[in-house]
Amino acid sequence: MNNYHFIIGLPAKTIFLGGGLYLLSMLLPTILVTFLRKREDQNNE
Amino acid sequence: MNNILVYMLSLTLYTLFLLFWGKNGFKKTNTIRDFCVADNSLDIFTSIFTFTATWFSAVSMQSVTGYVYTYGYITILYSVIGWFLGASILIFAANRIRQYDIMTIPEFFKVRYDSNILQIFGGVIIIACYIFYMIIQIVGFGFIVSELLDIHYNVAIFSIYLFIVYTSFGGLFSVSKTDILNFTIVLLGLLVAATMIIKDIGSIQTMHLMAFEISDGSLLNLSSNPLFPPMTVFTLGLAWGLGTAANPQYLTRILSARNKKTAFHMISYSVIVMGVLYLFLMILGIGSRVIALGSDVIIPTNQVLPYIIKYIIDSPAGGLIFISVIASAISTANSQLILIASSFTHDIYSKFKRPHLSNDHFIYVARIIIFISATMSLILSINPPESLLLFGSYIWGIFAVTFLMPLYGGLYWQKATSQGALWSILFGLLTMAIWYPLSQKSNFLYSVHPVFPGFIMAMVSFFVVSLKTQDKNTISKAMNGDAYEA
Repeated sequence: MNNYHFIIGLPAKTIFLGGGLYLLSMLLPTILVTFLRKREDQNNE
Repeated sequence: MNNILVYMLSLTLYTLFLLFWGKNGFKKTNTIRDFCVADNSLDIFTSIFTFTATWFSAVSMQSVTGYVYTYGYITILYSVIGWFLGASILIFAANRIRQYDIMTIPEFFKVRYDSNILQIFGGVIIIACYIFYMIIQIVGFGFIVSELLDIHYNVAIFSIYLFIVYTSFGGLFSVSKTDILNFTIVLLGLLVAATMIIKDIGSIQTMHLMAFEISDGSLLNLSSNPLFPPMTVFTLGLAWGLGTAANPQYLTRILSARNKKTAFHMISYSVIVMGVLYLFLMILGIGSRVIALGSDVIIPTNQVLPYIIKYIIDSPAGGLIFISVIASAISTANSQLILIASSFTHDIYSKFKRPHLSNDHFIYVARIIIFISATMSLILSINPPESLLLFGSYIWGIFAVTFLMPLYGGLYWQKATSQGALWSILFGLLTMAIWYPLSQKSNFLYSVHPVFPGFIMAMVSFFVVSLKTQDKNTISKAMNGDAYEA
């Protein structure tokens, strides 16, 4: 266990890589919707 | 109070609520459009509930929890993250597909490619895939009911049959209405379960540190399990992701939403809600393993959740968690029954029998199909597959290799032709069918999910055949949706 750095009890690699990927995939639809709607508004103007 | 009595009481209350809640849906369904896409009228609230309830199935509840319990967080890499990325691709479908006045996805093939063969073929694929996918819901339901109520598995699976047939008869209005109830129960059940586990252990940090101790880190590390080499994780995630993006059960929700803005927000908000729910499932999986101190406890992954409710939760709150598992299975199965009935009646039956079906005749035939297909799935569920998660990935994989290119290619590429779409479907399916038996004989081939070569072949044949079969009418005919919604 000594070689590991823990954040909320998780190895740092798991929380940064896994947690980061999880958060990104969870928020990606919102990012895409924002982008597409903004582009649509610009086209309408 | 005896726990079996609590579970029975919970199930009775749930049944009464469902009967009362679902009956209004019947009254609202009068036309084909009502039945298939709820008259394209669902508001953002109902859309989110029906999207999430359909998504959150027995695979999510039982297999994800079971696999996290057994193999740890690596499960999330090839399942949940794949699904979420697939949902991102759905945004691009929502951006264009509502320009077409359609009620089913195979109908899109007819309108976009002017091909009855593609529509009928699409209908056949939907029927076959969902009859098999419903097995997962029936099996998931069967395991939990038989284990917790202490009844025979075959008796247990028969009872879900009654639930799903009842809620499907009223079409998408009825299903979306019951989805509000079902998803609320799922949400509450998982919240209670996760809270109880954390309370029992002390904190999330303690849970992780103990999980590290009992598994020598393998439950928490993302790369330590020899059962899941990187190629398997990547291609399995791809199968789930692309299958989600091409899946008619989500695409239909885009059509049933009131407008494009509602469809966009339905997908983005739903994924955030589910992102939180999957965290609860992770707590349930890892936390239960910690409480059971269970590196030596070997339970088949499909039976982990009944085990958790029975031996780890072991309190009256188990009643709520029990019906939340049932609600997740029912809310997915009834949605798939609607798709089978819509596809058969709208995409196949109306082509051969009656070119102009009346609303009443359509609904009558659709209900017969609901009855027949639910019975077929029930019979097939008597001998369940070993791994629901893997079994489900093959079915999602079929959608990925058959529907993805013709759908997104048709929406975004003017040069796509009906021959390109047809050969893409055939080559995709053929490659999967050849790869699967070969993969049983080689370790390397086994590590690559059949959807990977299948999708590459589908994509290549779609572009090559489309470019080879261009004629001067192709582009002028393409992209001419009915301007149903600007």
